[in-house]
Amino acid sequence: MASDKVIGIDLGTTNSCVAIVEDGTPSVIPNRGGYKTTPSMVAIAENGKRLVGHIAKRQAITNAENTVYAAKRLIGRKWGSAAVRSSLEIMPYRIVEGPHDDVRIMLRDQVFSVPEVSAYILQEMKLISEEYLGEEVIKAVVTVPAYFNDGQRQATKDAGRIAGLDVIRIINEPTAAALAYGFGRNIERKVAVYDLGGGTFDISILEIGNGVFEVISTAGDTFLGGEDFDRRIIDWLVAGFQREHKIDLRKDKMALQRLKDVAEKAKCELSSVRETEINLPFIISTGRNEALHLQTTLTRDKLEELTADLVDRTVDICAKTLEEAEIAKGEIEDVILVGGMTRMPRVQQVVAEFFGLEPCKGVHPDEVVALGAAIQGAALTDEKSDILLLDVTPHSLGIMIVGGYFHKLIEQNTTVPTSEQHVFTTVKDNQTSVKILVLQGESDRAEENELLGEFVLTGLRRAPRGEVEIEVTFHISADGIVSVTARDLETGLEQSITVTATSGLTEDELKKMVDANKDYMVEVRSGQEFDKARHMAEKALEEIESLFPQVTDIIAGSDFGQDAVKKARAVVDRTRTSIAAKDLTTLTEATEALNRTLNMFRGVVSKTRG
Amino acid sequence: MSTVPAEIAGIGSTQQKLRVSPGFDPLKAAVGPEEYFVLSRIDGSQSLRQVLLATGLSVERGIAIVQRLRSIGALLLPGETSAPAPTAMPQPSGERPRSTGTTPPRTITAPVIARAATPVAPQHRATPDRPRGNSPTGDALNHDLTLPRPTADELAALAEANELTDTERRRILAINRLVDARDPYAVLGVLPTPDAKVIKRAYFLLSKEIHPDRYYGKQLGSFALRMSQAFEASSRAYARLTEKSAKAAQQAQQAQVSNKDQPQTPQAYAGELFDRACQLEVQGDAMGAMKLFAAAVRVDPQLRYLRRAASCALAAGQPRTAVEYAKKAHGMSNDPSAARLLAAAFRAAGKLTDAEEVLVMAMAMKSENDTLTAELRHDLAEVRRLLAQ
Repeated sequence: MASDKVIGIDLGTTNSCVAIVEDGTPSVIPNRGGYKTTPSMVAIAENGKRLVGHIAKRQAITNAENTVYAAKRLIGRKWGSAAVRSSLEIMPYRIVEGPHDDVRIMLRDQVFSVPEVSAYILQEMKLISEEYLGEEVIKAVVTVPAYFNDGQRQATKDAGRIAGLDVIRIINEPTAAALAYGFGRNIERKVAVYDLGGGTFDISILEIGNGVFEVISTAGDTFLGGEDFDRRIIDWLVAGFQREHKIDLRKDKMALQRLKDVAEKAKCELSSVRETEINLPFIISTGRNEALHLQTTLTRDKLEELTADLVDRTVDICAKTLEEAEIAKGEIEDVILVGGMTRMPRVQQVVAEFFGLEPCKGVHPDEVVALGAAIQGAALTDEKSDILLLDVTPHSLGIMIVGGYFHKLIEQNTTVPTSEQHVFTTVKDNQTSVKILVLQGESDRAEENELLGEFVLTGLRRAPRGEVEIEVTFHISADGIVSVTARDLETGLEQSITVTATSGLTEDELKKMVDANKDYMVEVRSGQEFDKARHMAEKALEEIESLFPQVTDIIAGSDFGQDAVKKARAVVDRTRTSIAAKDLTTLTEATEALNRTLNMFRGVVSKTRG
Repeated sequence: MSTVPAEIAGIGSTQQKLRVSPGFDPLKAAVGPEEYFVLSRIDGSQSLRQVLLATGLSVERGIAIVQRLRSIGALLLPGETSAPAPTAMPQPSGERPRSTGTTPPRTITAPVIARAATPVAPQHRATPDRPRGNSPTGDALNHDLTLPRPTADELAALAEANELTDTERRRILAINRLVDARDPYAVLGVLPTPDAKVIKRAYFLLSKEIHPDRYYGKQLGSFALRMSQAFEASSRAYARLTEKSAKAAQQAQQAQVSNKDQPQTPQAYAGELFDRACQLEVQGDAMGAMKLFAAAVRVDPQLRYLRRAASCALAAGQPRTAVEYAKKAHGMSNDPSAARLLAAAFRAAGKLTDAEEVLVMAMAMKSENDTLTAELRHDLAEVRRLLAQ
């Protein structure tokens, strides 16, 4: 029988971890080897057998081409993205283009999608927990980096489904870490979570109180993590070898895999020692039956020098995040370090310097995320749990409007569930349909953001541009599902979609769509505002014109009479010009002067009458 | 319904003589004009029935307003010393001391400000105060769970088959009633307070009751949507109250009125702000004066206030603000002196063409006041000289 227990899985770039809450206590479930974390590696052995975790890692050197690591860097990404491009260079396994501009991995002539590879890891975590609990496990909460977009989250969910798991919630890694940190402690404070993992960097600010965890702000860099630190070491080793032997070790996939292993090992060692020996005998053959060895020493200082800019980048992101959230450094009462990279002394030092306080040492950086996921699982399903997570949407959501611009409806870092509406208008005369492109991102340009989905609202009344009003409503549910509705305010006609998996559109395709659909785009209400302004201006114009003869008669005698009439004329003309130019800004200005003139005209007339 | 009923849901007998809660601040509670008017009729000596008949509003409207005033803690029933926490709240787990009701009642000794328009009955002074503000632990949410005059939809919702308790349903319905009321404090179920901690605690406490995640996997029926709406309303209210700039503004306002325990008309309040602004201006604190002028103008945009605010803004070197006020003043009265002020503001803001236009128009209007005409002429010459440069 399937258990109704919910496991929490930290699906990491390099390592994964699974945890569960039992009798109100969260704990990590060790794997068969007794380890609390399992390498996020999948390999296909020569006999076609699938290998996951430690076994896959052990054979990685001899089977580099058929061993996948860091699949998380590829999940939910488009083939054309920069992330995939740079992975092509450094990954020893073959990455190929999928049918939907997605990424596939080729292992022994078999093509796998990235969610499939991730699914094998999730399945392994499922097995570990089932062995431990003695019953089948179906439900899981899986964590992702805070900066994952909807496509990456959906792909992670898909991976869960392939693995036979019901992923009841996806939560952010830093948030999970905060849950684990605050669990069972009656605290009320603002905390920062600094999460530097294998592949990503995230910073989140949370407010904790009375069992409620409110995410205030979250930001990060999807392409900054431990692997980048490793790469700096590899680059340094390759460059040194090149100088000495004029051979590029990158060309040899097996050498590259060995370099990667040794770089990671050296990096970890340098967290506790000041220098380490790097020794790779028989790294490559020169082709003249002569093998070369790589032997060198890496010091902690050298490592810090090689990676100084990476560490600085994390601090910059922290500063930016605090600034955007309007939070002073001094308001942060605790800093939680998450991710293996935070073991690096330089990282700890920089974080302590930035926040002006020693990072919290109570949490285990490798386990804290899985524990938090398990806690959220229990919070959702266990009546006795007194935990509530107030999560936010990590990216802004909106639609494309005329000119290919992106109009945000829901700002990033808005607490979910949330909904927002906005009225748009048609941009062409007799426009009978509008296409609503739902986008996610922070750029003002639509094509620079991620397309989540699209639909068309048809059957609009034939009318001059700007007259038909379309109300667009966005809703994000507590579990992050986005639904969008467009409604013709006049007829009540409605069209909606629930945004699910992302289609694999390329930049080019999206750009083409932008062009093709320009006519169908809707416009922000400013057109409507202009009409309103024009209406008001026209009313004032009418009255002024009717008063003109009378006023001219009355004030003609005064010194400035002629002058004033001229001025009044000029104002009237200016207003007419801005109406003709359809320029809201100049019209607003002109209308102001117009109203002043009208005001005076009225005064002049009433004075003589009185 | 044209006669006053014997009883009103949520309040009781209409023969009762209600009083205004001494700690209630109508300005911060975002009370509308009608509501304010009704509030001003309530003095502790007239029965509720008499008040309802005296307002001139329809009885239904009057009742609705009284109920709303009651729900935001503005009204006290006879014998009450503090605004009620409408229904017993389930205590969240974790023992925390409740302070509501433990503070001894305190007597207000502050003198009533003598203003003709201030509708204050003398017995107010002797009214025991309720403990000021909110309980520091913030564990009482002040939503009116009695749901006075429920709609058919609400009655159906209360009778619906789902897994929510009556209190949970009532709170969600009560909050949904407040969604359009523009009173963030009422949505969060707290009395108006500048204390961010109290607001946060109320929001967190409320979240635990109405966040959809707390009912994950439960049958919610129509409440799935209702709950989401209620939570969204509370999030918005919380965001509004915790916005940094808004917070500062509210605190400034709070500081200004902190010594007031008595209700007063907005006009009287604006007058007072204006007087204090003038004092500050005379003392040379132009910036401080500007803030008070702005507040006064916001409450009661009188020509006199606008003119004074505009000239103060000019003196304080804030031409843009001066233009705003002067425009409004000019819009209210087209006499030459308003025009002169507007022209001066335009000139300070660097809008010489606008200034010239306004002056020419004013000159054309032929004022009987020769001094003013001379000044306008002088101003115009000056502006034209600048324009020529």
